[in-house]
Amino acid sequence: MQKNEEQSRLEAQELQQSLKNADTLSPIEAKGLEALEDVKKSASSGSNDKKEPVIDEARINARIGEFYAKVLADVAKEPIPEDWLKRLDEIDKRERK
Amino acid sequence: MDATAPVSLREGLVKWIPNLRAFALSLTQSAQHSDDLVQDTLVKALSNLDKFQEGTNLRAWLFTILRNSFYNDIRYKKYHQTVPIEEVDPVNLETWATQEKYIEFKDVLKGLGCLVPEQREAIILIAAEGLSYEEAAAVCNCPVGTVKSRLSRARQRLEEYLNGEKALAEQAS
Repeated sequence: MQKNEEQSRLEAQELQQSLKNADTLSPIEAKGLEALEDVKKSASSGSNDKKEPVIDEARINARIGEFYAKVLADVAKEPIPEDWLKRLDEIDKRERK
Repeated sequence: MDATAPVSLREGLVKWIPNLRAFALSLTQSAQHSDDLVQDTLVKALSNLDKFQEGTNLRAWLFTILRNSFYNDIRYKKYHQTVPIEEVDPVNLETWATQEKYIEFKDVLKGLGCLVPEQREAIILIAAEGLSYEEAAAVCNCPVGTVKSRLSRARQRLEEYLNGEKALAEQAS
């Protein structure tokens, strides 16, 4: 089994090399070379037929942006609690001494 | 400490309070917890103003303090898990342009609740607060590549969640 795979790999390499060496390629040969390159790329990246899910980044960003803008607008309307400011003043005074 | 510096820095702290509250709310999904975090952040920031380098990003520095406090709380209280959505009481929901907008908001809120905190902070810092990858990485104390992968997973999970919600809504109608 392993031997067969190795043989196929060598044959594919040979074919690829001979196609590359040819001065001109017929359309079928060019397609074959392209297909071989694709298989090689796929094998080296370890990927098979699985495709990465396509994420609509712009849509997600827009939804998050809209959500956050609403949160920000709402919290900005809320007054800063008095005790926070008081505490900041106390620490500020202490630090300045 | 420089006597003149704290005045402007204190004002700077106050200026960023809404952003701190929004970030804390998005992280904790709890109004009470987020207010505790912001207050804690302000106290720590003012007590450590001498450690802040003037001319650097004050917002990112404050976010770093808030974020560290958040994870300390998680470790302390051992609630490293998403908050049940029934407990979410994040914002004043009185003004909504349309019912649809309100539903969209709730969907995103629930979606964020499904993310682990590291993914949540990445997407909020970058997609909402507009921090660069480098700034977000500094806030999260991790490599830029880690931030990118967390952001990517966050977007993916959020999209899956939002698509699922949409499918459910369509089925119901």
